[in-house]
Amino acid sequence: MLKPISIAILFGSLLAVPPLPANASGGSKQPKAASKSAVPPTRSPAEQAVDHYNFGLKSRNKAVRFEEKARQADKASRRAGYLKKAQVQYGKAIREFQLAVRLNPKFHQAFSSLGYAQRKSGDPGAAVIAYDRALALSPNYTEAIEYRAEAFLGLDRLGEARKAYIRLFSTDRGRADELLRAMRKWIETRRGSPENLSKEEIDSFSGWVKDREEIASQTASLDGMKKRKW
Amino acid sequence: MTAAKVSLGRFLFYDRKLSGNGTYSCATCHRQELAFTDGRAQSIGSTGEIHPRGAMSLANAAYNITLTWSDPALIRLEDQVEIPLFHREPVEMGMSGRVDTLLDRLKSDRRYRRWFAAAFPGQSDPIRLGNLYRAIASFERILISGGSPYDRLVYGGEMEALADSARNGMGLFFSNRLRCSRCHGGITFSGPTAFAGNRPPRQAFHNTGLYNLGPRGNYPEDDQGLYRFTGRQGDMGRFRAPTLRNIGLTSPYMHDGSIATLEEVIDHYSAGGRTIPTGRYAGDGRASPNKSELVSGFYISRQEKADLVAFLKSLTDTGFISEERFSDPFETPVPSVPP
Ligand code: HEC
Ligand code: HEC
Repeated sequence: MLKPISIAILFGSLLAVPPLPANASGGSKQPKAASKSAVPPTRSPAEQAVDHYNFGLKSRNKAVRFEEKARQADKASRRAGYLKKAQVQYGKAIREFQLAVRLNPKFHQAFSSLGYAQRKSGDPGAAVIAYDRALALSPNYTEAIEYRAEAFLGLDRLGEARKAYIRLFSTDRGRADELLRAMRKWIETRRGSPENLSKEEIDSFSGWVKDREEIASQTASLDGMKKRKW
Repeated sequence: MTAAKVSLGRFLFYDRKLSGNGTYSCATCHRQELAFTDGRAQSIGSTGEIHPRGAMSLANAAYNITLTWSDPALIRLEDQVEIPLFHREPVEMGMSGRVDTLLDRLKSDRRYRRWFAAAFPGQSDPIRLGNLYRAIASFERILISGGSPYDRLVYGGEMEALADSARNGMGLFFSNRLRCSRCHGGITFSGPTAFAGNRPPRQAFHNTGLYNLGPRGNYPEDDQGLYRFTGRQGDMGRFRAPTLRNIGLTSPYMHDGSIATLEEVIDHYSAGGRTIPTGRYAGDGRASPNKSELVSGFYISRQEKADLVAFLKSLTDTGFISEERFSDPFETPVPSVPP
């Protein structure tokens, strides 16, 4: 099931992943503009990976805009049309990100973006694998920690989602807050269609989320504290 | 900050050579087992002089925007070290006018010659006052307390770390009814904190209505808080909100140790100020014209009071008071030698 997503989450991800310059992933220094439609084969694999990554981002951004239009659409048939277009773009994005990580297997941002697009096209299982790769390369990459946790939610792996929240709470409070909102949404959705979850499981998770919401309201963000240099 | 500076600073912090008569180190007034306070209402210096204020906890002092109870201009830990060493009002370590004696004592100790050189490589004459300040400040900066049951709940995600009573107390502490967190806020429970990336906010000083002497709401002359530095009547009796971390270990309370227990501290806030019925300091603190508007009193039931105390005690970090790296290095059988 594709679960509803919040605008805040989208903004978070758009801000966090700006397009990279072509030599970002350690490619050769030669500056070369990416062509519009295809990746010239003369470029190094790392440069090509960045190009594919940037194409992937473009498709993903299109998908996000279609989703936004779907949200604003007044007729159900229109909404469905936009959502379908969004899915086409996510499909394209997935292919570009896959090319990118094949060309540069150390490209943690591309793995993370791959996970994102896979999650949005309703495949949280694949998304978790992609985020695992991103985190193996860059263990403190909070974007991947947050979105992998959302994929965990999609798979009803609640314990792992909770653990991710605690980790983000002291390392990236903005993302922790977003994840908590996604958890709240998950509860609402799941109460409507519990599938193979028991009421007790949902209630217990809901109690935990309520607890953490209260604690969060009482606790100032730590972001920045670790940055202090003496 | 380097490991060698921290290590040197630890020795200096615990070394009685740093006092005029060889009886006092920093740790005499800042004892680890009391979260680096001394358990006295007001400290007593190496020559027996009574300090107008009580020793403050050094837990997380590195994050304070200003240091000590009410000095608005003392910002760097390096600058603070000079006060207990050399100042005379009151005498603390009693080295006033004896800089050379102090340096000679250190220079005649082979270990310090080695350790200063290791901490300040490349300097021809590293045993200097500025370096001593730097080393002690480096040691103070590692005195981080963040392992209390409260931290285990909030940052560690151990949802059972606080019993129900303490958890209720936590709700009260942060509530708009009690407003404790409005002054004892942030990670230090001591108001605004400083760290890179934020422009340090202004320090806040508050009069909590402990005293109300004469028509202008004075505090005892021994210590009038921020007023001592600014001379403005509105600053009379205003102090920094001290950290509440490890507060269960640091009685008695307030700048002059004039409140013995946490229950009585809560009574003081609940009444909206302290009333002293008789004696030299008789007066109704509730009616002080200088009192903070955040201290306006509130109703609190007996159970709630117990809950709030339980919460305050959940800020005790037993790891902090037993941490080997913070302890007296002269006590350890094989002194850890700086690299
Ligand atoms: C005689 C007891 C005594 C001795 C010895 C002493 N202190 Fe203190 N310390 C105090 C008192 C009292 C205060 C509060 C001072 C004030 O408000 O003016 C204090 C405050 C401090 C503070 C400010 C903490 C904060 O959060 O603002 C620091 C830091 C400190 N001392 C470090 C040291 C160091 C380092 C030494 C040794 C060089 C030392 N002290 C020796 C009694 C002592
Ligand atoms: C207006 C700001 C303010 C508010 C509100 C406030 N405090 Fe304080 N607190 C202070 C200041 C300032 C001091 C030191 C006052 C002094 O020594 O004169 C202090 C001291 C204390 C101390 C003694 C600390 C020590 O090391 O001696 C405790 C305990 C304490 N407060 C607990 C609380 C609790 C509990 C509440 C809520 C009921 C609370 N405070 C509300 C500002 C505040």
